[in-house]
Amino acid sequence: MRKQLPIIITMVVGGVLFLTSTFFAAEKTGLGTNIDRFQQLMANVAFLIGMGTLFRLHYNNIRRRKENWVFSAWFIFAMIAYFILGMVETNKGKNFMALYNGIITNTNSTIFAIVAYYIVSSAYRTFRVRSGEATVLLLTAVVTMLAAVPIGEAIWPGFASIRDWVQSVPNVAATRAVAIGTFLGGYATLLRVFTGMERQQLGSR
Amino acid sequence: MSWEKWQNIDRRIIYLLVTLVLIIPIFKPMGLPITVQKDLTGLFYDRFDKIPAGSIVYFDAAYSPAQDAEITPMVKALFKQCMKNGVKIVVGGQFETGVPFINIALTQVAAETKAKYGEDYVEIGYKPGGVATVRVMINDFWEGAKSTDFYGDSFNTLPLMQKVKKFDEKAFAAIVIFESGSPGMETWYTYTPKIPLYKASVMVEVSGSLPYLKSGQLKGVLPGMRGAAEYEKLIKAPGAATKLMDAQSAAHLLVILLLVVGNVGYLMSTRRGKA
Repeated sequence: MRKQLPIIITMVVGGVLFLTSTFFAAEKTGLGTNIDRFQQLMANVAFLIGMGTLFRLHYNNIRRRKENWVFSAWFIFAMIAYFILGMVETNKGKNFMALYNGIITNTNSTIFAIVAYYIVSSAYRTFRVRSGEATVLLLTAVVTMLAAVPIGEAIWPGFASIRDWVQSVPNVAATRAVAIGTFLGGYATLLRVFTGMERQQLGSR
Repeated sequence: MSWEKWQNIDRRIIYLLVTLVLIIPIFKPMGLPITVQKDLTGLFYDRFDKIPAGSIVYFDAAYSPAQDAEITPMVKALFKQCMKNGVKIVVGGQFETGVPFINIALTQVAAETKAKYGEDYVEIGYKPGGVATVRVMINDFWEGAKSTDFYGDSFNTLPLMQKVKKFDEKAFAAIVIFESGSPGMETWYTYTPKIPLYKASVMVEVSGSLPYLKSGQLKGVLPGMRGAAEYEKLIKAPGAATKLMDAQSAAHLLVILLLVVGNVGYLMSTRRGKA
């Protein structure tokens, strides 16, 4: 029953949502909206479950004195302290927002900025004209990069026309092909979950 | 001469060069002219500028602070344009990290434009639940958004929110998504297809958006920092993106130079190997 029940719930909920989003008459029943309300509620509950899971994981790291357990202790302190601060101050609170702006914003931006260094270094090391395809890719990349910034058009205005063609013809064709393939794959996976053929989410293989 | 050396420049030198080409143009700008891409930024501006005064536009913060350099200038430029044209704004967000971050940008630009919170714009904050929340908001905006704004205040205290009862084309003249990933524009073209959708995104997202622009599902695409710089030019308010374009030009040139150096080294060493 531990596996059958989730499959039955998935089929019933999936069926209702499919019908209510496909047929106007089914939409009028309001069943889909009620499921949406429930999902909205569960999304909030999921945050608390997430906090609980993280707490348990890091608490075990501390209890067993695993490698770098000090970071786990710091994590639990930061998570609980920030949670309490948020509950007390809300978004109106100066301390709550100052911590967000001073830590999360800067850390996030810094990590992303560091990627630029790795991209330049790895492009230099790996982008070689080893074949005809690689040569076409390299030339396209160079033209697109030049056309993406003002200096490209300052060197030769024709870069813009080439970029426009690359973006609007081969790029659109390839993107549509990938999108159609992805959506078909997505539909196939949904059908498998819907019919109970896909059970990985239940812990089965 | 060892052509292998051309292929193996020390990464510390590369990192130093990247740092220099990014920093020097900020202090010594080259002032390169910025031309507007008519099919992207130009199209976006022309259509968005026609939204009548008094209309309400929804801003979706679907990005995180990592994309600050590219997206914040777009947020500020579009906010300024809306305030100039008398267009009202409701700001939400599909990314929980994007919502407090867009608040910083909006607080700054609202002070510059003397926009009044509650009358000219409202931030509803992050509402968990993904597309389920959006579907509830389509039927009843207040219920989906739990009738509270970013600061926890009731919608009853905000005059602008009295005009927003459902998330539909009657309430909103347009949706602008500031996007850096998923969940993103698919939420809007799937569930609110009647509301004109505009996308202001990081550059890497642009190529994947163009089929939707061609099909008419997107009304406009603002491409990365260059798009932001072009928009600043169009609204005649040069800002951060305009200042950073020279640094981006220099960085792109450095990458191309390094690619040339590496490939010349590779081709010459291959030729020597054959001989």
